[in-house]
Amino acid sequence: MSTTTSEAPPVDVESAPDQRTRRLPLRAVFTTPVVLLAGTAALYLWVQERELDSVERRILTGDQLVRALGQHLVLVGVSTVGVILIAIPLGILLSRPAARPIAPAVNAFLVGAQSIPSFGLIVLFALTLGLGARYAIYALIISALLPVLSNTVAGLEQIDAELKEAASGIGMTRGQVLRRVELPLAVPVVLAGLRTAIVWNVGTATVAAFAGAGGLGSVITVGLIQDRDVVTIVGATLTAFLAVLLDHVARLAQEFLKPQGL
Amino acid sequence: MTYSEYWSYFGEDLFQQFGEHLTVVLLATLLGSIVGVATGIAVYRIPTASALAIRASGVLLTIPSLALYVLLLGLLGLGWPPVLTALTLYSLLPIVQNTIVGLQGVDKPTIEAAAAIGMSRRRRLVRVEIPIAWPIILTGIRVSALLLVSTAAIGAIVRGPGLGGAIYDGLNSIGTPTALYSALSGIGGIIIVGLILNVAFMVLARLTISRGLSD
Amino acid sequence: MTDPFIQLEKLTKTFPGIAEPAVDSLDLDVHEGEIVMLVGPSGCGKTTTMKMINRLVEPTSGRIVIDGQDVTDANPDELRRSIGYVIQQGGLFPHMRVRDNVAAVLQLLKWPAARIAPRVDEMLDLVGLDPSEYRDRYPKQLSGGQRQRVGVARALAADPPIMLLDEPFGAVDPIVREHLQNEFLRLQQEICKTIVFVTHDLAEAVKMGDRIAIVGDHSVVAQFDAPARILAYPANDFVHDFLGENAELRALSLIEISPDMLSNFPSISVARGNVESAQVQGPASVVLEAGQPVGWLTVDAGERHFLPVKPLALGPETTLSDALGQMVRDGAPAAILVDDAGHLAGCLEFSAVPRAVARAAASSSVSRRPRTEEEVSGVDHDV
Repeated sequence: MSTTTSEAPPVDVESAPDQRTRRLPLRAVFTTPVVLLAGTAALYLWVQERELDSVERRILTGDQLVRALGQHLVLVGVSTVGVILIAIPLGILLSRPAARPIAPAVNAFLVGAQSIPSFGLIVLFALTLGLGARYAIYALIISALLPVLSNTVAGLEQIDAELKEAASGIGMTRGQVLRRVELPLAVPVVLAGLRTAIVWNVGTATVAAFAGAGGLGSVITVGLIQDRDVVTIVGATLTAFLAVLLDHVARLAQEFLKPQGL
Repeated sequence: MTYSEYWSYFGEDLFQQFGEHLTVVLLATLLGSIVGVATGIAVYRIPTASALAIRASGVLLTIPSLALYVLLLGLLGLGWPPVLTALTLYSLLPIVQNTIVGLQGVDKPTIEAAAAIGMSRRRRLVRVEIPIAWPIILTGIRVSALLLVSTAAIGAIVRGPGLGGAIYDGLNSIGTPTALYSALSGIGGIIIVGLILNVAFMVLARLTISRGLSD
Repeated sequence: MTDPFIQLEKLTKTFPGIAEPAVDSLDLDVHEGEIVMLVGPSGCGKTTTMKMINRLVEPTSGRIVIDGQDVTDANPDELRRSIGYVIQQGGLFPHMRVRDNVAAVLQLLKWPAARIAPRVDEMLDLVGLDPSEYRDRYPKQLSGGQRQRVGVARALAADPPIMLLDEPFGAVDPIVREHLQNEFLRLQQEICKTIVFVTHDLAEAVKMGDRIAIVGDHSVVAQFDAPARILAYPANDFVHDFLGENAELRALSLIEISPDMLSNFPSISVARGNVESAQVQGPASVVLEAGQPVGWLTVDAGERHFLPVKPLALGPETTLSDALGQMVRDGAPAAILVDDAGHLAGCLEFSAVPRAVARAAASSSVSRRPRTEEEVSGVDHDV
């Protein structure tokens, strides 16, 4: 790290603030949305071309689709916030030296939990707690916890022990070392896990329709149940587009939120 | 109805679904490894092609599995074909990415030393670069396989193979005594598949990674 | 003189996107069995030059002739199998055991397995590693110095006539480096390879080289000559600056003391342990006990001083630097040299040193001094 810094051309003070504000090239920001918009337009035209029967017409209205989209975003948004609130503090706790004795047990649990099917959790919660968005969100939170939790632990553990020592060496308390040194340095890894969780949630939320949680998944299921291919395809395509779009937004957020100099 | 009664009725079905689950995951991982490693080898020297391959396989993994299953339904019908295809596509990102990262990470002087003793480019790849990158490539394959274990469950919605069927049966028989048994058996079976794969990959790593690279 | 074994003719390398050539129209001849050192500041293109010999870097223009054959367009893989190559840390394959590393070239050359195993052991023996202990190890289970030895063993396995070494001893600590250098020189006396050796370390170049090419920017050879001549007579300012201050002093360790440099001082024979009774014959006399010189007897302002000195043995291993060391260390008026039998051969005065340097530099026959047994068989401690 020090060699690259020493070889880098000196940054003059005037232009330094400019370099601090991160400007992604416009192409990187807008390509994905433009492609998705064009895809949506093509989907719209394709549906328009077709002779829709009464069932199809009833489902494929703007209102219905926007409502499904809204429900989907609520499912994803609420569950993602839940994941952040649970997984990050838990990850911090697990990375503290006091948690070291239980680390192997936690690891073993994480390995087992890794293959718990999110579909299974949704069905299990529907069967035991009941149908509806609320219980689906519980299932979403649990199934998306893992990537954020393990990335938080990994992000904090990858930090050089010498760096932490140096921080306490200049008189920081343990809390300050965590806030000022460890967390900022772990941010990129945590964000990567969060991005995975968001994409994961978009997908699992689709299945949540089976537990009566609504969302774009319900468009797909209605299409499957009524045997209307157009409806299924519209639902599936919009879900796919939403996932790609949210992944893109998460990627941009990742770029902007990661600390300078990494 | 007790669980043992449930077992006596459905135990055989569950075993079959268990076998199917393991099979579809292994098959998709194998296909994904062939395609993914070959893609990684083809692009790793070219930065733009590497970025493109990672981006493309990344988009594939982003698409919700239910959406991908039903989109493939129109082309491939119900059952195994859409599920196996979708799972293969999902497995690509970790494998492609780790193949590229692993091969790009091989120490340049080591590759040069291989060239300097007269190894042809192909031999260098097979004898030096891939073996050295193998721990990372194998990690990618393991991550893919474990990812597929849970994703395969959703395949039941399009009548795909595996333990997702038990979960889906539970959902469809909601309100009956067997519903919970069925869902729990499916979930438990899938976790066991995951554990078996974890152990299998540990053994595979022990057997195939040179001791000069591990420990 | 015979034809050079390696001839580089007008060799030029331009990397794409860089206007200035990395190597510009270089001519260099290397004779059979000699060690040619390429030494210069980092980034001067010396490594690029060396890598063109085995075509790890393809020359943009120019010719490479090895043993009378133009190999500029030969199949590079086949060419490389006949050129040993050693880099820092040995460039070993981390996933292969020591024996597979050493056998790598032999397998490429399709040696039968029955011949490979004994050859591997022979090579490990040659570089001073016990085969039974080391052949099944992986590179990471070796020390830096051992890895370097395995690297040399691998390069030598197929008995190539040429070896290229790129900073081979750069990554080991100074004591181990010294051992490896000495051993390599001992080895070279056995194997007589034609060697091109890249280093940035002038001391290493002086020590190892039969001839040194001082390389400047774009691989322009600023001076190509025997070490002592370069040290004594830098051809231009670039070489002078590169050598730094006191370059001449380094030349001293390269020049052997010969009998014709010596002058005679008066000597007095005394009975053992009875120096005080000796008759003084001048300001400084060599004291002999039973015919063996033991020190100086000097007279300064009427005071007699006895100065015990351990004489130097005349021979190939004794250089001007040793003599100068004795004078400075002991404060002796001159260095005392003895012959094989331990009898006084003569004394080397300070004024003889510059004369000897000038004469050695002027003669073209200066060659690296051979090593003593003690030096070359020095046991390596880096286990």
